Amino acid sequence: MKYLLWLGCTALYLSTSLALGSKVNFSGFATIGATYSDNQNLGLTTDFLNKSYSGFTLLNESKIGFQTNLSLADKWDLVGQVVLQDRNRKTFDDFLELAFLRYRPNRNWSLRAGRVNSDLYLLSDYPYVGYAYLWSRPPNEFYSIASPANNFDGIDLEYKNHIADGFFKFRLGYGQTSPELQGANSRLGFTSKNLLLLSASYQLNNWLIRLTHSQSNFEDLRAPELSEAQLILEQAPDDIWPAKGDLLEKFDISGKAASYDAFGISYESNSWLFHSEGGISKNDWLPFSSSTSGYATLGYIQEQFTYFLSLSSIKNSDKIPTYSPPIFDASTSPELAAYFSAVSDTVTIILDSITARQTTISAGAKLDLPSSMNIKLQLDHTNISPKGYGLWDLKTPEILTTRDKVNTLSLSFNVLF
Amino acid sequence: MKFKLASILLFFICSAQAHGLVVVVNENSQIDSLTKRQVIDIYMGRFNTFPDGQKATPIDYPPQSAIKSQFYMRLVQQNERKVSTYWARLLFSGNATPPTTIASVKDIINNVRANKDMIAYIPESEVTEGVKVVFKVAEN
Repeated sequence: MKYLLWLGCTALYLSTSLALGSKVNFSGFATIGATYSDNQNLGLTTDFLNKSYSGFTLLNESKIGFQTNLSLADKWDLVGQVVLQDRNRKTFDDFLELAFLRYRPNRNWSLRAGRVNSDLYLLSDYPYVGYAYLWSRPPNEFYSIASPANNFDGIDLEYKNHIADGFFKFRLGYGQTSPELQGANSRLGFTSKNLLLLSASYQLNNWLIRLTHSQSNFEDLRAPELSEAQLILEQAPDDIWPAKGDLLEKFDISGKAASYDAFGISYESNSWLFHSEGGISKNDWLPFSSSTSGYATLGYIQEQFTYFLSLSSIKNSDKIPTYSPPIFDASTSPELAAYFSAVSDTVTIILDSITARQTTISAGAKLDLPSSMNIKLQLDHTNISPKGYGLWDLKTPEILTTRDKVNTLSLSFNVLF
Repeated sequence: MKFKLASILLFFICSAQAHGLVVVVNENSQIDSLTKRQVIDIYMGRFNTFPDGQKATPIDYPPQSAIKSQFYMRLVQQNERKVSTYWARLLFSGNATPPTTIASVKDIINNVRANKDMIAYIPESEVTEGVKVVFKVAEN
């Protein structure tokens, strides 16, 4: 698999260094976005791969991307894309979005190898191109958990053709991805191996529908805080903490699998637009508990303005996990009891903070300007259920058991170049 | 009366020149005609070849050209803003690159005459030797 990534990186390098001999196209996009979130206890996480902020920030939504397309011959081309944004980890690998070599044996089939986009969602092919979609940022409830699967290292095969009066596309991909996420007060890295992706879309006039399925295996945990908690749990005597075995099994990444199924529908005319997607994720591994999420957006276009309303929601499919706390008797030393009580509290916080239960109502407007530029203004009102703070970076864990609200105001300028 | 008839005739000729758009290819191209759907396939980035599998290189006009707005509105009933957004999605998903832009009709015709894989749209009144009309863009 590393060979494929190397191939992709080579593709990117070639695409910038062999510009003279072949047809080359340089392009880019940028967003300057200001965000204000009114709940100081909750850090806004617009993308699990990025840092989170509360209050005013320019870092949540601002980004700049550069792309090179190099046509090598009639049937071969290279694409490389780098997007600079406020990633949790800042290596070149974290900024490299696309780097693939493509072969098109005929007009219907194409094969790509390297780092390719996953095509799992309506926006997963261009999630960072603010100019290309309606909102200031894609609905958090649906897209923040999707960000780790925006791209993967591997291969994919695409078929496209007309069916009846519409246009059909099918894509099959295989590979892996290794995201570094911003968890609740901690970092969480892992590898999704044996990643299998299937997507099918059909476009007819103003309508587009899309069905997707993906599955993978979790491996290679990179989470210091979680590993430390596991180590402490392992050392706990069985008679003090009978539930430790169950907890350890839930936290253990080995052998755990994930699957995701999504449906999307989009309508765009010159006056109205409607986008809606829904997804169900099923995961064995506790830190990525199963969930159902979706959104619906209705927009009205009037000259260069587009006004929109949106409703989005996420809810954990599983019950919030519970477990028996440690049991202390007269023979337990006070020091040991205090130590495991503290560990138990930490485990409770982890368990309570990994589930997401919230709904957001958004209203906004987009102003299209000449020369491929636009300005967007958006207000979000989010209701978070008790123990449903999984999409937020908690500054104070005490609020976990209460219901809370957050208002977020975003103003962004988007441009293509 | 003769003057009136001539005026009416002239009006219709001028109208045809102002509004008639045709899609042209190199006169030596093996393509003799295209359907509306096949023109959409090429200009909306669905396929990068002609129906016979030969490479197709579409030529377009710069943003905010009147002829460009007219062409896309007639072809796909979309204004230039929508077409621009559509192409941003295709380009930055790595699926296709937008048509090459050339500002003047004369330069476009010269390019099509010199390249067998090029395809362009021009006013019907500008059709000249060296290019072949493969599709007439009808008004909606």
